[in-house]
Amino acid sequence: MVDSPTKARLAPADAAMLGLATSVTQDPWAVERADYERARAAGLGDGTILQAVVLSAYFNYLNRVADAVDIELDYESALPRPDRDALREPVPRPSRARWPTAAPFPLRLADRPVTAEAFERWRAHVLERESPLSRRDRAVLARAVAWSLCDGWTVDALGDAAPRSPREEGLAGYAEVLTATPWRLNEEHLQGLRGLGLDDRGLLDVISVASFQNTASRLRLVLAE
Amino acid sequence: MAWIPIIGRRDADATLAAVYDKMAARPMPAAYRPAHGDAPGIIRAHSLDPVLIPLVFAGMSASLVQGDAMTWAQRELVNAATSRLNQCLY
Repeated sequence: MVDSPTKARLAPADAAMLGLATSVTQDPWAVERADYERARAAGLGDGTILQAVVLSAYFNYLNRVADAVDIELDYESALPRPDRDALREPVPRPSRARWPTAAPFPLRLADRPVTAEAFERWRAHVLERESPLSRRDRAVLARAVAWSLCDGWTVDALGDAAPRSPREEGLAGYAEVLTATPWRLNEEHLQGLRGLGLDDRGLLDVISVASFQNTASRLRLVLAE
Repeated sequence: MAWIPIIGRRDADATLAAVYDKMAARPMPAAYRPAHGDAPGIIRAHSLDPVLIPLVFAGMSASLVQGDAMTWAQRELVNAATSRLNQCLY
């Protein structure tokens, strides 16, 4: 169904929801007001659209943590495991001049107050600590993710967090792989980070910061402030 | 074998064990409770940062099942689509 949504007999509202998840995940920089209008025309209300956008953005976090840590699956499934194509290329990114400059959806995270508060507490823990990673390291990681997702607002806000050393280049490079091609994450990437002086808690910090920003930038690209 | 250390319930200190207990006490469909009895793998992936676990799972995750805008099936559709596009088996 997910592989061939056009062949699946989805109700219009469910097809629209699938479309939202696809846009948020695959090319959030290309989301347009027309995507919102289409979802509304398919019968989705504003609350449903907002919930679907945030849920997909949040699952982009969970997927990346799962693959970056390489967790084992908890459940047996009767379904065949989908193949993973490590060579699959990410959707091409537009040049900086063509990054979005206006929020396409007339919806705000604040319209779900409980989620907005939970998101803020999560953000503060992930981005505003000094250990194991420094705040500077966190900013370098977040900026690299935002750059990979064409999130100019965050890139501009973290303008002084462009990598300035081989260590920071290593952090930014990892964040880029985790963001654009999470299916290529492997243990060697983490060994590379260990070579930069990071211990196990530091590695989890890198993973959680970069994965968090994958949620944050997707929300920033789709929702109004 | 995960690529960073994972501390399960059996080896958890008092702080982490309390977090796991809190997570297990959340209302959730039986289908989400792993048969192995330990905390779900995605929660244990965060075991080196016990403070982060409730922020992600009791906070953000729980907030996204509140309200009746989306049905359970629709939430699963969004989760599955996102995972498939990311080529994530989780």
